[in-house]
Amino acid sequence: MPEFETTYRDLFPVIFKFLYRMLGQAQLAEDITQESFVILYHQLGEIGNPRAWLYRVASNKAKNIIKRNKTWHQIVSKNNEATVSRDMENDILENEKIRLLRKSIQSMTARDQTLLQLYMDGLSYREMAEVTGLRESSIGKFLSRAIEKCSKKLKKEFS
Amino acid sequence: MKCPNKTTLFNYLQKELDQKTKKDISLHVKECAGCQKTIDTLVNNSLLVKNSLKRLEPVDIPPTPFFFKPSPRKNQTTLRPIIARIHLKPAAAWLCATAVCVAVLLGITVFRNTKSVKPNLEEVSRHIAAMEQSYLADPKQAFHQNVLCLSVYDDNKKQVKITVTNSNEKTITENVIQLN
Repeated sequence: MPEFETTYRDLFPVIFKFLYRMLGQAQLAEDITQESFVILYHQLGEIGNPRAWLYRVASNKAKNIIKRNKTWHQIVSKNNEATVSRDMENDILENEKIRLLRKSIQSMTARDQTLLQLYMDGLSYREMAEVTGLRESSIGKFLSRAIEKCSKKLKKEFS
Repeated sequence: MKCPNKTTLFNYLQKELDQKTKKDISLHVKECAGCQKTIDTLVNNSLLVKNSLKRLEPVDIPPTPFFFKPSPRKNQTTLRPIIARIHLKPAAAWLCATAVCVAVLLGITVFRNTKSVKPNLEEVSRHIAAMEQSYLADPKQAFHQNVLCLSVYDDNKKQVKITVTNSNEKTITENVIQLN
């Protein structure tokens, strides 16, 4: 199945990065990426746009984990602890900034968070609509509002 | 041209507009200071969000692991996947569950009633009495006073075999009666 192998090679790092931004833990992000590709492997013939499909499966899985997992803060702090060995002071400051950044993004609705992450990865409005289930004509409105809300939060948090 | 709203300007920046609208907005923006300002704000906000999200990315991306091809799925022969695909609203689901329970209970009741059909004992007794009477009325057999009647039901309890024996357990007469 050469088509699948190409998709896997091209999209594995992309989906991994997307999940890492959402979850903040490398192992978890890698596991969910693998799981998503296993599902894709079984359904490849039935899927029109594997990229959008993978984003949808991966974001749903990540959202479920965040919703179910009450130890979200533990996940983040565990991840932060892992990076604290290089330069202690800088790392602590950087980790604190990342924690606040995550907190700001996390305080937004699930829809806005997903749209921002997809925007970050350069998906088209059509693909974003496929991933989120929203109408393509509404994406611009929701996305521009999400960016505005997020930038306000960030300015407030880091001013 | 009237100033386009913020969403349209955002869509213009994202190159998500048709060619004609894109051209119209492009011409308008060149001459409108207000729209230029809005575009600057939109660009700055987008950059701030993108740069912030970029900071959440991992420092190192692990090498793409080898993909172990999973074994092909077996043909789904059980009902479970079909049932799993049925999505009902909670109210409809409860209604269906209740209907199934009632049907099962009704079935059990009917089954039990069918199994516990009992022969009409009065009818059987009447036949036995008649046979005894006819036997005792026979002058040749009158001296045999100790008469014993046995009745055997068939499996379906639709007929009964009545056997009259004397005190020596010798069969004197027998009769098969169809029950109503």
